[in-house]
Amino acid sequence: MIILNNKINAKTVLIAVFIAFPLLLFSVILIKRDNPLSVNENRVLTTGKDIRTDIFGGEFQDDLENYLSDQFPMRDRLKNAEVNTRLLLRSSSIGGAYVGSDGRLFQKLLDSDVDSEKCARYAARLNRMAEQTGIDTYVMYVPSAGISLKESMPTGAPMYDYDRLYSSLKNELQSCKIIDLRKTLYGHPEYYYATDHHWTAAGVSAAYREWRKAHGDRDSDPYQPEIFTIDKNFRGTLWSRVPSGKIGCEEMQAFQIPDSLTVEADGREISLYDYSALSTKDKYNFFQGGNHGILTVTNPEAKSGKTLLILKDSFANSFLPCIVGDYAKIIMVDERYAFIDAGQLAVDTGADEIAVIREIISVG
Amino acid sequence: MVFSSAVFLLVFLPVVLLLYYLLPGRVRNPLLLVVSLIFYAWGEPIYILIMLFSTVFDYCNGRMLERLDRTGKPELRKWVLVLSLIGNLGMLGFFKYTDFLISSINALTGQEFDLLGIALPIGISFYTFQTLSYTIDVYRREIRAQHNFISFGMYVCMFPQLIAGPIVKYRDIEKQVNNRTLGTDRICAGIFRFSLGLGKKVLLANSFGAVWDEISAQQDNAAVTAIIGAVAYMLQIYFDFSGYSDMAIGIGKMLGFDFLENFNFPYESKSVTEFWRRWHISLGSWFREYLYIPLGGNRKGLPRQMLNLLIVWGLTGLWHGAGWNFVIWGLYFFVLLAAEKLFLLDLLKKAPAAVGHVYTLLAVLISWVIFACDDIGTAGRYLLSMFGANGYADSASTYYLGENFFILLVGAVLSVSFVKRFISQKVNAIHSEAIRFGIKTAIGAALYLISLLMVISSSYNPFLYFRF
Repeated sequence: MIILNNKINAKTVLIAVFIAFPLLLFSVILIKRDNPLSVNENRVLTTGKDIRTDIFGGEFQDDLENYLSDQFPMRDRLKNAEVNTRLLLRSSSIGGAYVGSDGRLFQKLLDSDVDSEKCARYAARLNRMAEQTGIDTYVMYVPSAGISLKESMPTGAPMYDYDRLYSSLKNELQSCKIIDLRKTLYGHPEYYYATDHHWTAAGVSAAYREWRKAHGDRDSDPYQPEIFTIDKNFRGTLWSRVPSGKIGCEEMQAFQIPDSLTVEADGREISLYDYSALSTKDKYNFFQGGNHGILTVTNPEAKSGKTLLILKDSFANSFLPCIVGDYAKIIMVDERYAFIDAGQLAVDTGADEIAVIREIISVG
Repeated sequence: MVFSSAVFLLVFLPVVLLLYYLLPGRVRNPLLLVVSLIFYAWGEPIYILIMLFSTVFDYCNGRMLERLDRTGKPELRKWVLVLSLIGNLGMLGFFKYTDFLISSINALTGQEFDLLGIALPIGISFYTFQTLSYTIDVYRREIRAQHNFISFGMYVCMFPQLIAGPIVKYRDIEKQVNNRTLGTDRICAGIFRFSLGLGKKVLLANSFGAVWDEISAQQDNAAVTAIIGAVAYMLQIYFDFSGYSDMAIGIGKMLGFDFLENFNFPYESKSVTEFWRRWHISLGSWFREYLYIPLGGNRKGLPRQMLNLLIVWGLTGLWHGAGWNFVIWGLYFFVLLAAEKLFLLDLLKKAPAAVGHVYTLLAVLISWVIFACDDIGTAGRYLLSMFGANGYADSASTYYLGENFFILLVGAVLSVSFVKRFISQKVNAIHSEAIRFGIKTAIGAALYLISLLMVISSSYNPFLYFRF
């Protein structure tokens, strides 16, 4: 009863505040309506209902900790203030992203983030598939933005060694046709989003020209579908890591697509463009509504009757609309979601070509 | 539970303090025991049984030692002590070192004995040393055995220092265990100390940790980059551990206890000997009192003293972790301390102070690399890179230097006593107590609030010293 026994003075008030303030915050968290989603972070938040009751397994403790952090009052604003303070202190590495000299954001990928042995094993598997099926196999590795746009990166900021990785994988891919995008994409800021790690429609266009060249098209400026603007307020996943009002929105574009397309993803008919994604935080999901295990595009009005099997990551999602006019059927497989024998699938579906379209560090 | 967690800051600490201050004095020890058990069980409910066993075991040993004195059978007392040593060290050895022993045997003999996969109970190294010190002190008749089991349990399990020290000897707080006074001055000093520790941990140590984690994960670092990484770790471990000690001492004050200081600006030492008088003071004094001196200390000639030092530092290394890098780390300090005792200290005293500072900082920097790397090979490669095996500087060095220069400078400045002395002098020169209190409150409140917000914005925030 020490507080009651003493005269009320500034020290007593301090002690009372030290006890009452956190309890008040805790009460506010309990009383206020739970926020189920963090738009900025693009993830589901832990709510009161999510707290599990297993105390001995430690689940209750973990969930309560997550609940208090996730439902803390004005959490997004606090994060925003933290990021702005870091920007003010001229920090160029925030939340796993580099902040470039022009405010452009880059995914921070160091050598330690790259499993080069796994990349090599995957490349060797692709090579075996090409040899066993005898089907023309194209490999188009997309350099990360931080590799292509060194000039915009913070001075000296380390990134994984793309050239070394590329050379070693090239040795594994003797039976594949490699489409080298390094020269094409290097030094062109317009080919990558400033707030997202993906490439823009302009970047896809440039890559498509190389794609055509690799397919024997001698036309240096082959026909491409028309580009149109989808959204002028795009902020990608890198912005979610560095959520600051000081970093502006940008334009998102896509290619016109024929009306004759039929798109099926994991047994369900979908559209190549998902306009509903534009009202969500992750607007890149505009392309096919995100990643799917197996997606099939059929185009009866295609320029050829060929079938293409694509093994891909999300970079291919925005590339696909550019080539749908060229193939009667495109089967796109994301090996992170579909555990299948891609070579067997190529044979079973009578694929004329196989293409691997992905960032070099992502593997199936 | 960790101090830098939302549950601790928003719920546990304020609720405990509220109950502690409102309830009558006689229930404070039972209350502290109960909340300490909740605190410990929060992370590892099962391992609470081990801690409770240790508590009961040493309570009984203490009572037994006293009883044997009363019943006129003092010759049996040493067997109780032996029992306590076997029980405590056996438990510590089993949980901490069994897998290390098996893997070492496997490596030496080429056998493939299965590891037991025993998880290390949090804080076992700390509370085992506390209970051991209690039993040994009762055996030496330096203290009386605690008869009240609740009070003894409260001493062993008390949450402020339970999982990362300081190692509080029973005799240092014997009077406070039975009877302690609370006053607003002491509580406010505790709040300030706690906020200071929280700021050290959350604002500084975590930032340095991120730099070390990133640099140490890379192969082939240039010398400048590797040194920046090592310096970042050097600052991380200091602010992490001393921050935790500050928080423990601060909470202790809020509860009416005076724990002894655990750090005294170790990075301004002029020799490694001095460094170890300023770093983790409670561990150093434990080994000195309960191992080095009983072994004979420096009283039995130089060769014996060197042997004693070797034993103490080999075990100090092992105490920090079950790995050969920790053993080598301990032996590394043995070599340095032995050299200082033999001749180096005399040379350093004659040399300008700067020589001693540079030598100590370099020696300690190297030691932290051995300490931080999980295996000897990694530590060796990292040390080589610090000395230019992969070149002296590259573009990444420029980047890391530019990116971290300010925070490293802040860390370096705050790790020596100058700033504290300067601010204390200025504040103490103010005549008005109210203004002095206001300044301290403002500093403490700012540190507390910013740290709380940082805790909220980062979801994963473990303390380094948990693995010991």
